[in-house]
Amino acid sequence: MSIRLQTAEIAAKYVSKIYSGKLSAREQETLEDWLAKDPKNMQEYENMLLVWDKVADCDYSILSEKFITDQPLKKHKFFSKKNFLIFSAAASFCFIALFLGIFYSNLFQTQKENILVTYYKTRIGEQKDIKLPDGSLVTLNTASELEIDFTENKRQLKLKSGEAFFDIAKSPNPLTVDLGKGLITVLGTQFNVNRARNEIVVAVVEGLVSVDWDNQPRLSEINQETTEQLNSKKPILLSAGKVAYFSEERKKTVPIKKISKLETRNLLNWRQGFIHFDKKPLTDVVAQLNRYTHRKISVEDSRIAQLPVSGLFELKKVELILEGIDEILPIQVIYEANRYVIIGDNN
Amino acid sequence: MHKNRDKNVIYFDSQTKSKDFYAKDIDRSLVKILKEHESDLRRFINKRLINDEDKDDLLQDIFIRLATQKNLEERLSRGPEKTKAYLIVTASNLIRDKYRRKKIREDSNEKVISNQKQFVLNKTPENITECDEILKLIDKVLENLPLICRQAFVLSRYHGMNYREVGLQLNISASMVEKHNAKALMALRVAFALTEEKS
Repeated sequence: MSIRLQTAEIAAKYVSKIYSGKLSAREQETLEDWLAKDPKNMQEYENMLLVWDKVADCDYSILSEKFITDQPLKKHKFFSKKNFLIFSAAASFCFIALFLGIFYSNLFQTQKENILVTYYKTRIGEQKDIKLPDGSLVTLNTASELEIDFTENKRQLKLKSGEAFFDIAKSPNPLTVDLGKGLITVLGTQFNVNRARNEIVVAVVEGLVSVDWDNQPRLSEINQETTEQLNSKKPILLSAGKVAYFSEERKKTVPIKKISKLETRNLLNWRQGFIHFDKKPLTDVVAQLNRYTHRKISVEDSRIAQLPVSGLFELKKVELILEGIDEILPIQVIYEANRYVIIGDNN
Repeated sequence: MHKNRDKNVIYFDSQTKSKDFYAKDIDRSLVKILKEHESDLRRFINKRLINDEDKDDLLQDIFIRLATQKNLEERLSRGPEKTKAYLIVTASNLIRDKYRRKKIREDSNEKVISNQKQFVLNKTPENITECDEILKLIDKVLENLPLICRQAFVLSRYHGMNYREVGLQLNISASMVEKHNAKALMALRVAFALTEEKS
């Protein structure tokens, strides 16, 4: 493996840039131009990425402690005579600022205790990313409400309605999500919750999630992974790829279902603005779509209610989805003033 | 409008002629472009990911990323080399995100498993010796770098911090962390190239 230093240096800069996570659109284009210019550039870029990967494959953190802890940071030579006056002026200013700072931060802290309950709401068709104080991320889907109650050692969320994806940062403090009909407890994972009117669906993407439908015992009491726990008083333990349902009508939780990685991804497609159906009856599809539109859709023909619909659709315009379905199913969509009515095709 | 009564299922790549329907021309041209560059992409992905499932996921993610790109047609009309570069950079970006998420998952899983006292190390002997050699090399290379540079590199590569967090820890800006990382990476690349030449 030969190496051209100049090329390698540019490649190293780009790889480091990419991993800053801050590659702007323009920078990305300059990088693409550079890669397209010469196959050798592309090759070097790939080699550089391989080094970047390879280095992380082996855990260097044990050895690395010596760099982080033992040696203090180098200090600049700052105490020249010239700088002294400016320095002392700045220092006294800092001193005052520090005192003011301590004073104000105390003030704020006492306030913090009282007003940390925050409330987020999305309109129909809207989605929102929320960054929580602990670094966790929550994405709210259409027509959803989330309440956040955080203090230093308490992490409580409440999903009042709708759907949300949670990417929870690791912390020794368990995070809870109140679902009204149950409580979710986690340490740090990714999961999706869809709270419909009479059904709640919890799907786990990464890590472990404990779901407790009746507000019974907590995570500490779980010690084995069980696949089916029907109506038991223990919380249900869900691992990645598992889904738990709660149905109001049946007044009980349905056994946990294992879903494939593809199905998990399909459940989360809404975050990219897509919705996926796999042989779903038309009425179910319509119920899903109604969450995203002000103009409600209704199926007024029992003959077509169960027709299966499959496909990946862009959520932006519900009308377009209806048009697409209209084209293949034997149905007719009637556009009324404030709603869509779907009936069977008579032609 | 023509309707196929026998086929009441819409597939992702259906032959629908609708102008606005999502599964339209853009899908087909996208599929075509991805097919054309599949071998290049696969080669790139194969080098960087181990798990087959991850690889397929990544291809799917690339598809979705492109399908949601606003100026896609313009991006794909600049000739094959540019298109290839575009796909490779898109893949790089996605792998970065994926890797970060994976790291978090591994950490949290480890915690859960060790709680259950079922934690088993699955390192093979070859793996360990290879790692030992790489670690020795890394150690040597980093020793010769300025302190702040190796601190920045170690924190961002082994302590799961992003550049901003590293910057805060070391009291430098995120863009300085980026420069230090580029420098350390360059030194490592040269060192790896030299050892490979020897063997």
